[in-house]
Amino acid sequence: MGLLLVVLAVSAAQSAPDARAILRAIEDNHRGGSGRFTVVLTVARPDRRTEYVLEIWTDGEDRALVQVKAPARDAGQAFLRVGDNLWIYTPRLKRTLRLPPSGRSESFLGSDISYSDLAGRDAEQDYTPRVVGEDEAAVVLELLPKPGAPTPYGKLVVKAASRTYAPLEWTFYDQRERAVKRITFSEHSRIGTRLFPTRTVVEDLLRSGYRTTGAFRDTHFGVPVPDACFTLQAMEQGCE
Amino acid sequence: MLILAWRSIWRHRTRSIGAAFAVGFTVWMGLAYFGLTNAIRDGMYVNLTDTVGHAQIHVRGYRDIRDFREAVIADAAALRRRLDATFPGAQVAAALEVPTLLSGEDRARGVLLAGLDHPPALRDRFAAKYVREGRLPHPDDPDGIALGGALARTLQVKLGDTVYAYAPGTDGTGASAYTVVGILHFPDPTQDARSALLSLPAAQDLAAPGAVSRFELHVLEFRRTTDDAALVPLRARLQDALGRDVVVETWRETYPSLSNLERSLRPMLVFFIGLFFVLAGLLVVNTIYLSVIERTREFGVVIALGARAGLVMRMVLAESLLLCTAGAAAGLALGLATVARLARGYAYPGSWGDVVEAYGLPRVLYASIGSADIAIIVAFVIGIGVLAALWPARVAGKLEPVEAMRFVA
Repeated sequence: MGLLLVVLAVSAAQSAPDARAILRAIEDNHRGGSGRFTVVLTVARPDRRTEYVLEIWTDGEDRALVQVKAPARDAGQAFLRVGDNLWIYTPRLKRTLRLPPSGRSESFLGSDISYSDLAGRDAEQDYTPRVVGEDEAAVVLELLPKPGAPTPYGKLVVKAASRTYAPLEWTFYDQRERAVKRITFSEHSRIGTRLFPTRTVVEDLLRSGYRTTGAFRDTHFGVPVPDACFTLQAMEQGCE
Repeated sequence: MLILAWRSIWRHRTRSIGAAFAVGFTVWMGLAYFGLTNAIRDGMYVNLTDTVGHAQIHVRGYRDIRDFREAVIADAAALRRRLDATFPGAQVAAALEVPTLLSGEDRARGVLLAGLDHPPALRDRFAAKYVREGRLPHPDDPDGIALGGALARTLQVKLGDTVYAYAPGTDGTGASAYTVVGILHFPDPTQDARSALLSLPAAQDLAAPGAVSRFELHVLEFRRTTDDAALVPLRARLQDALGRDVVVETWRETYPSLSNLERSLRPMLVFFIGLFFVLAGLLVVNTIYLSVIERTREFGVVIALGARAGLVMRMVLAESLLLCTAGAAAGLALGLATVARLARGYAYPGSWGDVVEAYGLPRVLYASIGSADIAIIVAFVIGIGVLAALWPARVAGKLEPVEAMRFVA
């Protein structure tokens, strides 16, 4: 009987999902690997709606170059993230500005996403995950910030498809455990072994009518992106 | 009874004068403290209202608005016209605050860039107080910027250098380059590290053409905290004139923590003055009690002649009140004279004056005292007069005439 209990305990431990591995798999799907694509970013407010067309190059890890193609008044702006460093290029000034670490959580182009959402794997880097629920359809992780992590949030709840770990929904909570932001992922597209969400909706849960939608089109995943794309020169000249 | 009490006081002249002096000194000190504290409160008031105005006009619900575009008064010129029509000749300042990434050659910081349009008198006062090097940007200067000293150090820029501002998601140009024309020094380190000032047109061009974050109404005649009472009807009048799209607040409503800080000075002062009165009261208790003990035989005779306990107790109470009143009258006269002298203006000597200025107060302060302050002092005097008499009066009231007449000290 004792032996049976030990065997059951060991097998249960082996089949228990490893929260870190799940989070890594979710992030792998979320970032989609290296490639180049176009995103139509629609920033909706109660009284207006602004549409940006962005061209993005990424290595699928912590490097990404974003160029604004439209509207005309913002065209030419570029954003480069390499690890924890983030630069902004504005054609009006014809120069790059380096964003301080404290500015990473600031709004990107007045939308509901932040600069730190542009690339990188901040969730893995800054949070400690644990599995809080799992059924046939979905697995739910709770992410608590590591001590000293540069994040304004008190908790993240991440929901992903059970077997594929395709991201479904991220909910951000403030320090008072109040849900403040929700990102919903849909229209997943298979890219190699990954299930990449080609439609992302970011909702401000504290203000109705505040929503940012990102629709991916013209995606070229799996193509190698040269290192030259992730340089300050590429911000001005582009990465063709 | 009062004549009897007066004679009793003078029986032990030195002891009574000592107790009366303690009461008088405390009254003088209380009045002087009230005068000096009111001078500091008025100095804080002038400093605060010079900086933020006596009343402010914002978009309704501005505290809960996080979107820059919604937090501004879009048609500032129209609102300004209504404001001028309501208060012709009013001193009105306008400010547009823009969350901005400000960068030097290598370093950048997130700041709240403020475009200011101040009436000349306020602008000169602001410049005299905070400009350490250079000058403020001229009212229509499209390129000049003044930075807090700590911010300039962080960005590693000096006078004549260029800084770059980036304000995405706004309705203006969203990015612009400015020349540093002034370095400021604010006593508050956070303000020093985050302040960047432009002319209002420059800030509007960057982020919100034709808009302001707020208007400030400055009433130059209001120089004392007691003038604040007139702000409430003024605010109501403004609100009626400007409509419901905007909210008019007194500076106390806009900055409740600053208001509470200013208001907290008075209760603290009253508490400490009360403590001094308690100490003076102990001397009065001692004087009255010894006086009662020394006159035990007299009280015995008075009681034997038919005086009730209540009358005896009232005699002791009258003696205590008379002693306190005599001291207080002298203290009051001296205290009011002191405050009257300081009301003509005074400055703390040497480095004390530097400390006062470092906290943003004017170098020359003006003492003042209100009728409420005097009433508090008088209440304390009556209070200690009564409380100091309670125990000795009880002792006198309980005396048995035969035992009292045999009493030998």
